[in-house]
Amino acid sequence: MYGMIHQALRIMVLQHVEEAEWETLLRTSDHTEPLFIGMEYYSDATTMELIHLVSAHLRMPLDDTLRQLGCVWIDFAGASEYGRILRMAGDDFVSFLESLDRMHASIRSNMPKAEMPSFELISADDAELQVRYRSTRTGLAPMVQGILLATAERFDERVEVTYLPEDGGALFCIQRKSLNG
Amino acid sequence: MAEETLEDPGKMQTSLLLADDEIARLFPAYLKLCPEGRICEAGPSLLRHKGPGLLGQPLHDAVSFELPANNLDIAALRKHRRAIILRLNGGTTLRLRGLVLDRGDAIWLLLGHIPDLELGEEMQPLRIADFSPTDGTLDMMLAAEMRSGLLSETRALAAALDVQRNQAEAANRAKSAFLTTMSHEIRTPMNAVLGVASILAETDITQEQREWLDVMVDSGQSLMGLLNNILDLSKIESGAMGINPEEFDLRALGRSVHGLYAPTAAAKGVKAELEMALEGTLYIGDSVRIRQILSNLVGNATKFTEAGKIIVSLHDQVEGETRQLYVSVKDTGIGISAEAIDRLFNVFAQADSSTTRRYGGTGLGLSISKLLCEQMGGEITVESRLGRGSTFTARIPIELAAEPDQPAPAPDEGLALALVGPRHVLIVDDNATNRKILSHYLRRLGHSFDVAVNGQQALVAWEERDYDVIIMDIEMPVLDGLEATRELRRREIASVRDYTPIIALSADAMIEKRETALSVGMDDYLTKPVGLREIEERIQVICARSDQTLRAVPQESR
Ligand code: HEM
Repeated sequence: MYGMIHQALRIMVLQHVEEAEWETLLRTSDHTEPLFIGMEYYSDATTMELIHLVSAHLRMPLDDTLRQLGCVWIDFAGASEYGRILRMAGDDFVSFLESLDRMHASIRSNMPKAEMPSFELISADDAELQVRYRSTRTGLAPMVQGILLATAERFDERVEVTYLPEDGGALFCIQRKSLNG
Repeated sequence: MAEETLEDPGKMQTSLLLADDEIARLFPAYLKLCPEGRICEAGPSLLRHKGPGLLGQPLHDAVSFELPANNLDIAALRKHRRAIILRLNGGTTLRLRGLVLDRGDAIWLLLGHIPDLELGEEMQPLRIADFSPTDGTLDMMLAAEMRSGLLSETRALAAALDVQRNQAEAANRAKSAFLTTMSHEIRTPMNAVLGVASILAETDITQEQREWLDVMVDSGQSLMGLLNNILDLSKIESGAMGINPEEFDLRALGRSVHGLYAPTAAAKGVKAELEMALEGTLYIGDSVRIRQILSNLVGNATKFTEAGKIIVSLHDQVEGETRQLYVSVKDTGIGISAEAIDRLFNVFAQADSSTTRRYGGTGLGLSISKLLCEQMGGEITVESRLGRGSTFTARIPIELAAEPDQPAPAPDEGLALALVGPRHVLIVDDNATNRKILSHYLRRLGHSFDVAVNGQQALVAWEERDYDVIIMDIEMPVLDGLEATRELRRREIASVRDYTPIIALSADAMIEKRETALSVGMDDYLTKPVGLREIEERIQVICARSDQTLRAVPQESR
């Protein structure tokens, strides 16, 4: 995956331990450079190895690690150089979810090596939203869960997110506890 | 939306027409005009930005055309088959491009946003949903965002690296400063050790004791040499080592350095030859640095040649605009392997290499020579093969000085021979050991002397009586040697007293210190530790000079 994901992973690790520990983790992994460049592509094996190392080092189950990474990703993307892209996705939760697919597709034309996930808003009403997530990768559904929770928070929505694993992805149900607060 | 049925081409034609809601989906920024040219519908993107007030406005009130340049009337617009570009009036930055679709009962402007890639978010609050999925504009805009993201990431990275580099440089400076301080600190007691050793050498000791003493003096002197090198190096590295070009006798310099090492070489059965193919005698350059480089090269050659000979050659030639001096030292010594040559001039590579062990010392001398050469605008090169000897060549830009009409005045050394009996000397030094060593020397040489422990006391002593010469330390409490000299020279002029020569004696081998000392009115500058013979020679030279009414010659003319 592209370096920006790894940058978010670093931020997440730094919420738990000191920079020096992250550097030690990096050295344990097969990644040989001192940092990740946002627009540089790194093999999925590198990414996944690192996520596993982090999970083991923080003594945090893999799914929780991924969920946290998802939450951090949104904060990171929102605060980072790519914040405008996130804001362009929409001014409310539903239009945001509707734009996700186009956003990733558009970004992909600038990151040709990316294998982008796809998000389809299946249904939307005041009580529940259903989003179908598809990916060539497996095991990242908890990360999507984290991203969805953090995104809802950006729009001041309290939600509960569950998912049903499917072939090549998952179906996400987002229960809207309270609209706009 | 396009149902193709080959059997019925007519039907295919009609089915290609877009339904209104499909137009809205494909062109979120469309405008629909009624026949007389009012806006009767607008895409969700335009409504979001402009509000429902847009509806009902005459087209030319709501927008300004950039393309075509002249405002077409509605009839002409219907027939326009090329691209249109327009701006939304009323304080927006929205710029749109598209085509005209004439549907008879209505005119559709199928438009998409052209974002201004320079504009920030507030000025241009576009959302992904504003963009038509039919063109690449969104891709383009996100590309611009990603690019600027990458750019600020790069900038942040550069800034972080800059901080790291500054920290590393500061740490390096701190280490150099530490090394410099330590070298200074070690030199002071070392002075005393060597001084006492030379006093011992003058006493009645056995042959065995004398041999041990020689070892001690040798080791002490090489340690002093090393310390001076470290100090020189840190001076050069910090950029504090200046180059001072002045007129000097290059032939004499060559002879003197050669004369210094030839006996050592001869003692090993190695012949040291001096060849000088020089156009002149007097040149303008930094003689101190040139001597340092030559001494280093000849010294190394002497050290590493066990048989055969050493050829020291000096020659100069004009190359282009400048005259170059080539100082080369060729030996038949052990030679240097190609890979060792690479490390030869690198201070830090030397520290840990076998070169150091084989070639002795830290190799700092070569590093210093290289840096000095470079500072003077020249370079050092080396040609060598293992077992075949080496040739080191320093190229140094130099100027030929105008030869004087009269023969040059006899060199100082000549005067030294005119030994003129015992002198009365004032010793000024705050360090008791140094005073003891000097007193011992003077006593042995048959001179009489008084002692002062700082500049203030020296002035008092000088007020009371005349001295043939004052030997004065520079760093002293109360009143240092420089201040004392200044004051003494001032009083001398005011009281029309005879000129008293002053020899500075300092632990500081730095060339700048010497310059300062001479500039305040001192006559000579000796670096500790000084030997008995050196002291005597300087005393006699200086006194003879002042005897020959060379006294009171302004220091600047030296
Ligand atoms: C500024 C906002 C965003 C940017 C720039 C962005 C960009 C990216 C990039 C570059 C990748 C890596 C693809 C690869 O290297 O193969 C990725 C993956 C991913 N993105 Fe986004 N993304 C953003 C927001 C979101 C949001 C809001 C979600 C919401 C669910 C999301 C879900 C994912 C997921 C789940 C993946 C993992 C890849 C996979 O599942 O196969 N992203 N994104």
